[in-house]
Amino acid sequence: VESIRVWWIGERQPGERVLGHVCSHLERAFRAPVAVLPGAERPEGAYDARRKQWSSTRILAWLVQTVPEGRVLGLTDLDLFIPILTFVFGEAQVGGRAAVVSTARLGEPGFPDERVVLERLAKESVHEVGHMMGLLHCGTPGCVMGRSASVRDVDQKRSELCRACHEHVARGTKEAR
Amino acid sequence: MTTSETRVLIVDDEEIVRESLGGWLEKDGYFVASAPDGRAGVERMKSEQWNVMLVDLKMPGMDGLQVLDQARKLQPDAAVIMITAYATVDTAVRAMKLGAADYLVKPFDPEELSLLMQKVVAQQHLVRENVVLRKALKKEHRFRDLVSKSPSSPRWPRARTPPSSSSARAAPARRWSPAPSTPRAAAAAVPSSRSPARR
Repeated sequence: VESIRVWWIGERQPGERVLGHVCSHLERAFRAPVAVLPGAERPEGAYDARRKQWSSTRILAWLVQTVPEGRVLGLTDLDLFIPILTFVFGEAQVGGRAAVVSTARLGEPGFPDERVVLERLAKESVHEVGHMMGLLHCGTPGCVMGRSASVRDVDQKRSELCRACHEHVARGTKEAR
Repeated sequence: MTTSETRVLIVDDEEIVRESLGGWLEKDGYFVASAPDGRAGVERMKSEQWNVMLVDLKMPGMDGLQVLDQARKLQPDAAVIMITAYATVDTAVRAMKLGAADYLVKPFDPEELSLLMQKVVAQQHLVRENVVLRKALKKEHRFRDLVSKSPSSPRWPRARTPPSSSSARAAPARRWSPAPSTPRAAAAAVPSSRSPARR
């Protein structure tokens, strides 16, 4: 599997543990080399002043433009949205080369437990990179490719792909299941 | 019915809505197509079968209510979900009275959309199952009528008194008796499918 690059594009600096934790989950899930891109940049032109949120679709376009080749996962603490939804945890180009995940909605309001947020971030990162690898949502209970519309859904998943999803990635297939 | 067998049609004049809603549903495995206005949506209803239609209420030209009206005529089994902004919730409620399955206020909460789609797909599954069962039942009745109305088919002797459960168990197996030779006698002897003896 082609290597994956992880890039912090958030407001505040993440702890060292954060990027390391996400990278180790990605390596384990996809058996691919994972590298952290140095520096931190803010996605240009992705802020929507009316919604006071960041457009995940525009961030994907920016990532593709800014990182000239290879697969890249942007990690951020900015609140993401797509036009029809109030928020998203992340977004990815299915079978493409860019994905983004945010921590903004992964914590419980009022009870910010860093370990819980870190675990959820790792799961959502594997999930969005899975889309980048061509996977769609999976109905297998516990598979990380299951749809997560809420943090409860995220907590119910494991951080790994089910066997069928794993085989799809291994075959490099992009077909819908 | 799995999500991949569910055909979803999005009718919305805003390209960004069609794209982001379509992309969201496609990741769930739904087959998704879209139409940029009401007229194009109705054309797609005439040529293809849909399970779920997501229709924007406010569109230039043919609006969501007119599309709903056509959908009820062209594809009465399809579930129509109206998409609306806060300002048009009253109209969405009116749409429900006209036969829409539900409505969503833009922008939707991800969980709300997910749960609504699950609910509608489950209902669609029941509708499809019901159609299949009705067809099977109709077929069975057709064959039963064929046997009971044929003058040449053998008949069961009519029981004078209903046997008790113990005597029924002890009774020897009944034998077929030949049908009477004349059509008139046959008509008198063979009970209709609605007679108590056949039930």
